[in-house]
Amino acid sequence: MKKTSVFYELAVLLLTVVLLAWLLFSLGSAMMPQRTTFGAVWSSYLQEEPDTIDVLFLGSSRAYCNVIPAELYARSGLTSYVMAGPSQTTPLTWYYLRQCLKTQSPKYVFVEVSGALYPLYEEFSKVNVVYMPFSADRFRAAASCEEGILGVALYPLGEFHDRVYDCLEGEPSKAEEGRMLCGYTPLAEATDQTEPAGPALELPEPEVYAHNLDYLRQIAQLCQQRQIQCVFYYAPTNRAMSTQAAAQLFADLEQMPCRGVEDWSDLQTRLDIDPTADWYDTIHFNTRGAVKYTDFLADYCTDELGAQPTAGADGALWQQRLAWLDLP
Amino acid sequence: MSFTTFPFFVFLAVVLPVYYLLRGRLRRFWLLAASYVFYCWAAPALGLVVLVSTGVSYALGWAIGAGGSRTRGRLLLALGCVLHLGLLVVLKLLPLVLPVLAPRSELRLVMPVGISFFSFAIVGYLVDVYRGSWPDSGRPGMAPERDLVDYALFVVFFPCILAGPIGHARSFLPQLKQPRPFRAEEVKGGLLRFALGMVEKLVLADSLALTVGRIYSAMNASPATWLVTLGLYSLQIYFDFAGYSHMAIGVAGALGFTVRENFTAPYYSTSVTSFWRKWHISLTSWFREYLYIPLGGSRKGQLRTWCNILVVFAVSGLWHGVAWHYLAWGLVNGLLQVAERILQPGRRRLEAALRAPASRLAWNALAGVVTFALMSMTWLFFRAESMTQVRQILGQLAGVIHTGFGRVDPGLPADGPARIWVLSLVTALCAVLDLPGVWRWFSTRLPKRVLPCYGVLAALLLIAAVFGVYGAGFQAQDFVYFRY
Repeated sequence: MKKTSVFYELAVLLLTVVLLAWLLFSLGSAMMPQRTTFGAVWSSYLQEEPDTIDVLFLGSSRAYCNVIPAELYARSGLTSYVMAGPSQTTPLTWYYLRQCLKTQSPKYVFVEVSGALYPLYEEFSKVNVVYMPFSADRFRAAASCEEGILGVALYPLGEFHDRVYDCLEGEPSKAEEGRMLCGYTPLAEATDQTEPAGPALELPEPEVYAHNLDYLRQIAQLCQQRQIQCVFYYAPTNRAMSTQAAAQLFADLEQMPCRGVEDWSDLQTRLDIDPTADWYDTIHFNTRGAVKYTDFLADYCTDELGAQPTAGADGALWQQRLAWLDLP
Repeated sequence: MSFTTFPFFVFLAVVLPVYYLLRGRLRRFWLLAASYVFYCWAAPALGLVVLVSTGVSYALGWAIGAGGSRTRGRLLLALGCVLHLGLLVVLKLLPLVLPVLAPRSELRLVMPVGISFFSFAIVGYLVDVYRGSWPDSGRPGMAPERDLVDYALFVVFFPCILAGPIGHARSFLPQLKQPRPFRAEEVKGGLLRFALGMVEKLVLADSLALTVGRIYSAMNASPATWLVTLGLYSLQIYFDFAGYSHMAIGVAGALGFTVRENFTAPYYSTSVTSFWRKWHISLTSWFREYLYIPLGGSRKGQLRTWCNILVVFAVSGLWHGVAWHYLAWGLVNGLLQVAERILQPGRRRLEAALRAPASRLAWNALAGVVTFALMSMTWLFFRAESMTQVRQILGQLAGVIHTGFGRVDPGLPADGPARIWVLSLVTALCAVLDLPGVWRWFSTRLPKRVLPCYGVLAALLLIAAVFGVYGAGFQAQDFVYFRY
């Protein structure tokens, strides 16, 4: 074989490998079930007009079940988005923030900090990672998770190729729903939460806790660099932390360069929460409770943080979102 | 390690380039080490069985080839056969005997995967060495292999050890002595074939396995559903084993080795006899060379020939498993061939009378359909788990007399028209590739053309990745022939 043909052969081989890898990745991503609720709603987030979000909410289900961006807009005129993920650990929240800031430049970032109490690995890492867009952060996030997640992040087709026939037969698009919800997950049912749930939550093992705090610190530092006002908060819950754990956590968070550290775990009375009608379960509000809580957050943003709405927000779109949700 | 798993892709990505970077004896050492890693991946202890078999048969080969009296040679050959085939028989019988002898025993027998295949390869080698030492038998023989590394590599050569094609010492060992320079066409041709095997296994065989398995588990279907299921199982077992063989031959080809073909479009056959010349060729050749011909083949009269055919197919059935339904499967196939031999003169006269190309074509098509239908019926004995199940299915098929064919179970296609379309198209693609002219193009001409070759390779891998049955959410199917 001539020398030139060896180079030609190698070039074609390389091109084939790259093309095949790209095709496999793209097909895998295209076959993932459309996700508009329960967190990790990256496709709808990326469709938002760049730099139109004032407030970004990060964290776990305590963020995406409790915060209604359309209601926040109605109350304060502030535009917002919830980019949380199910049982999201703090490393994943960190990578979510980095990725979120590539298309939006929020003035305020609210981080729900119950992730500080999570073990090193939580379930749903796969969901949290695999919906992230193709980026170095996606793979770094996967590497921070338990074994096997990196493989799924690299080759999502392996996880979702069984959906090929559903895709071929056509699925109704959920893009509109995602565009309206802005990361919020509506929950309708109510459970009686009159009695506090137990036992009280404790901090994880010291190494795991330090690991979790490390990532929260990085979040605070990144926000500081970008001149974003970062608020760490603990969401209202019917299952509180132990006094000792809460004291330790908030003392540690106070050391970080953030705008505010708020313990809202016992906010129910202030919010006028009806324990028989406003909770979906121990830690999540239903839509009725979420509206009350979101109003509180809106007031906090305007009154405590002095937040001002962005002039260029698409008011019609936000009104449409509000109407679509038909909130109580 | 299975060919369709991620560890194997990594394994191959390491073994192949290093193999071509090394030279001479180092290369064979590398291949031997790789073969042991491949074999011992799941259960390292089972590698000991191969190791001991290799050592014993190497020594026996030497002892047979060392000369001496013919009786001594025969005794040594008999010892080799008893040791290797005896171990195989014992391992096949023990699962049946153990529960009777020790009903409360917790002992579980682990059958070393591929033992049938390497045992047959070893016995073939010993017979060939014997024939080489006493050439008056008239059958081709060989001298004993001197190089232990080469011999060990022949036994454990990783592309073929798990499910064949059964190693053939006379053709494989000389290849180890020849220089094997890197040839891009060989590597590309091998990878193309490997990718085709993946499509056949992951897309077709495993999808069909899910459908067929559902009907066999329910054991309650209309005659029409059973007929379709029998046809689908014929395709499943073909794509499973032919797919595996493509992968094995492809990997061997990428390493520069030529191993026996195992399938040459058997479902295009127009008779059962011709089918068996094209199905699992390495096994049928082994049986022909080491059992049918020593029994007298077709040289000792018609009746003896028929008996020999029945004996060979009965043994072949029992090789698949010591069970009545396997024996019945072998005997039914043997009987069909005997019947074909009896009817052959009439068939020849009829074929001679069909002079017009159209009528010959129609006759061949009819003969092909009848052969496929007959083979599909025989696979019923193979797929069933017992003769009781065979009787139940035949009983439900006989329902056609009273109730007609009935409707095909709507659950049979599973998951709607898209799956049927895709599976039909991929089956058609594989059927076209099985046509002799197309296959020649695919296996010899395509690897020489750079862009089309990589294009087809990528397309095959893409089809396997998108439409294949693997990963989370699926019950991964083992290769059918791993259990033999």
